[in-house]
Amino acid sequence: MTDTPAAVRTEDLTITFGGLAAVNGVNLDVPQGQRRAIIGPNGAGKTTLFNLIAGQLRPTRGRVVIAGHDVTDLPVHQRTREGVARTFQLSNLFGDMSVRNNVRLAVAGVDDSVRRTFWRPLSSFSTVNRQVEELLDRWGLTAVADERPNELAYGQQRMLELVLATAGNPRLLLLDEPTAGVSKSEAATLASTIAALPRDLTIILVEHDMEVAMRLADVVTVMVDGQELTTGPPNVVSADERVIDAYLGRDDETDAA
Amino acid sequence: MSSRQVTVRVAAMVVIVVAALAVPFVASAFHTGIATRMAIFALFGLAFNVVFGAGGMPSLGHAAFFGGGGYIVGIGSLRYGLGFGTILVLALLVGGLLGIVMGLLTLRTQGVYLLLLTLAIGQAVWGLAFQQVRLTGGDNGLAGISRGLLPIGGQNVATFHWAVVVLVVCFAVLLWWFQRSPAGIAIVAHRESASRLAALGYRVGAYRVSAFAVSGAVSAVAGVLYAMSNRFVGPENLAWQTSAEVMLLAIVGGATYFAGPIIGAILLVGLETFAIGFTDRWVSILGLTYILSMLFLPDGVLGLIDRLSHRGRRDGDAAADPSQVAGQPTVAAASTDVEPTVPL
Repeated sequence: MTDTPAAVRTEDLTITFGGLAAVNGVNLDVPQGQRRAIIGPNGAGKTTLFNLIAGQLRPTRGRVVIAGHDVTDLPVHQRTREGVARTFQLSNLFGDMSVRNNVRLAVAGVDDSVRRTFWRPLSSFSTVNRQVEELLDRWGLTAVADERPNELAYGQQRMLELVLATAGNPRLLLLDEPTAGVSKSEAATLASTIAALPRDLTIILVEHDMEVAMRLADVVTVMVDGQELTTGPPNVVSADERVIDAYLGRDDETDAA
Repeated sequence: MSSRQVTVRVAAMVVIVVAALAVPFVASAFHTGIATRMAIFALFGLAFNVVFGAGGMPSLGHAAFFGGGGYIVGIGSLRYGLGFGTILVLALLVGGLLGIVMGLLTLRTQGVYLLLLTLAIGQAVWGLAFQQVRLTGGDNGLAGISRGLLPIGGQNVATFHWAVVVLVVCFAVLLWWFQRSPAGIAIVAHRESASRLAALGYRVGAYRVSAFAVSGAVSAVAGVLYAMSNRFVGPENLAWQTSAEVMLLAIVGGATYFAGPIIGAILLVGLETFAIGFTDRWVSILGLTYILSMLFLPDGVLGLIDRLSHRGRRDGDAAADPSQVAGQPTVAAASTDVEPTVPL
């Protein structure tokens, strides 16, 4: 395979709310298999950029190209079928149905014939069930499979977010602050879980915690005021004077340094 | 859900069905007629609840399907001499189509806006029936719908009751089956998080519309049975009060439970029969019931039963719980990245 198209490319990506350009002319180029972190101070437009790639928002100007396909006008569910998966910053699970059914829906979501079925129970698809039990087992959630996500520990909820996102074997995984709100030790567990994901899976993560971002990412993009400030390997970026000024210097998080 | 709970629930359903079938043996013709009404409203409630309880979409337009079914049997049998089978298929089709239309028109609305829009659509159908006097009889409605349309013994109060119960059970089982399917579970999932469902590859709008289609089709069947039971259909079957009544019976029984509307129908039709003996202010009593159930039974009768039967077990759980909670991380350090985001 020569000349593999980038996993994600954005061209002049811009969105304005009222007069404010929350994301302004961003040109990202993330090659297949790369792990890219997007960092920046509060209000830099990280989450907005993330939502533009995931399809939650439509840009005012510019394009989003995923694996060579222009997906700018595709709604979220069609991007999912193009191999895009995402997690949410706050746990966004089906809180009142069992963990097992959460995972079942995720597995069925990328299977056209199952997803559209209304004449036989979801629990009767043996191919789905096999995958579900395998996922629950691999992620250590078998013991809580019959519980509802609302009853789980927060760290387990974050883990379930990851399971749902990866259940459909995506090519591109978008992680929106995967360790937000969890303790240091749980953040470490989540980070190693993410690090252990298959290497051919392209990952873009928005992360507030510099330590986690630097540890997981091959390449870091720093955003300030809706624009890309710089992009480079973690050690180069964290030594960049402009980055320290714009982000690290002004941030209150003592652990960031 | 444990297997014991499943057994209890299935047993309860069997008891209710057997009791319904036994009514004509032990009760007068008048009381059998009331039981027939209960069965019909139970089916209407179950159908309504596909949209309301399962889908989390409050609709005040369901009278359009219910009354629409009534007019299909009225117009079909009186004006065109159609048989019951044809009428049933027509009711399913028209109810389903009307459901698709309502689902599409309300695609981007939620909560109180959905309520108002469905109300408006329902009232538009009501107005249509009111005006098309030649077809619908206008204000007078259509009288003389025959129970004899049923293939087996509709003329007799008892056999009509049995026929209705059998049809209600058949459609209830179909609805139950549907709600366990991938599409049915996705409809519930949409209630809990539409954004997550879309991110998993589901076209959320399609599931909303199919919820309305299934709900509309089965509501229309209930409307057919109701018009036959009354031997009459009129604009009042399309009026918003009918929509409010079905919503109330779902809430009173327990909207998040499949069987909630069945319990609600038994209680509400019972209350109505009882109250009408004293007063003609039935709508006021409905309103009062709504307020009282919101205050004291927010999860309906089944919610109350559920809570009472779990209390012992939950207390035991709670005792074991603190150790688990103590090991929990504090969520205090959550980041506060507040950027402008636009909801889906």
